[in-house]
Amino acid sequence: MQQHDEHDELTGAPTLRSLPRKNPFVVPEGFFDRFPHAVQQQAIEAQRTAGRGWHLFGRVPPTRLVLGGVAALAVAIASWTFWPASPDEPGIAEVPWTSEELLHGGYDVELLYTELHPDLVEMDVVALPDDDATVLAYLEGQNLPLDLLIEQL
Amino acid sequence: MGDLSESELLALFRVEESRNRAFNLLVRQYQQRLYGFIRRMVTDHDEAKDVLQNVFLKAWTGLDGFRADSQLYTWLYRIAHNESLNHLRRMKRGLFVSEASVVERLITTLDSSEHFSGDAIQRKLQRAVMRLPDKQRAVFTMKYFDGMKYETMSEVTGTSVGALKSSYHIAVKKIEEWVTNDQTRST
Repeated sequence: MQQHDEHDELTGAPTLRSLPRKNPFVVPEGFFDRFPHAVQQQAIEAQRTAGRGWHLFGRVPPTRLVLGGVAALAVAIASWTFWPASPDEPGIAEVPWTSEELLHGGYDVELLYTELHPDLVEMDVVALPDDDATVLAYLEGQNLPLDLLIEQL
Repeated sequence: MGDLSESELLALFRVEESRNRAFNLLVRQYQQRLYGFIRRMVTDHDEAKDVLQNVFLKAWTGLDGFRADSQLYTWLYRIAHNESLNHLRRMKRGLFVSEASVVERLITTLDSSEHFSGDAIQRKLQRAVMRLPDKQRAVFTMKYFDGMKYETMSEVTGTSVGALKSSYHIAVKKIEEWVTNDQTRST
């Protein structure tokens, strides 16, 4: 029946119908004798490589483990981001700062400088001349750190 | 030793001690038929060997999950079909070339291949088959060369029987025309 159907389908194709259906491709000699062994070695090697590093988890597939890890990480990030702060420990966002407080907060400026730039307090206050060339020559002579110079200027 | 039945092979494969032997027997039993299909799809022996190797490596990892709702041979053939198409897709992507350039490359490989023993008409036929789009070439190869039933082809390709019949019919018309014209030109 199969053969009959096929002939019907080739009715309009006399050339195709007349051609012998032999396989014209030549396979290198001994290929099919060697191939099963070669592919089996590869399969065993692939299995060994895949199993390496996962033996502690027994037969748990790595995909499941990876998904579990990703889910745990997502929960941790969500908790850290959205967890409400305790009323006893107000978060940074809950401390209101006005511009007035920022400018005149009654903080000891000298103390702040000491805390922020401990080396700055050791420096002498020098009145800088207006002339740029003189200023540069002076600054070069002082061998000051560049970021500090920029900040001061 | 004769070929084992599919169920015997699967039973052997599921026992740890006989797993390797079962796999070896499975490869021996199906390699030639699968190679034949793959070789017709990719032409070059070395490429066919690589694709066939991937087929059996996938079978090795997938056999544990294989449920006998389809035949083992059909399942293997489906992997071979998908791997061949993937290989050709990768080839196009890797070479950054058009479909036509890949066909040219396949035909050149065929012409220069020392592993092609067919006569002039066989070569013409094979060149015509190479000119078919990949999926249609797969359909034509399964039906014309491997004599597969449409129902099995449908399982392999995931395409309806009607669509496969139509695809084969068109492929036959094209090839007949190309082979005939080629013959006319060369005589």
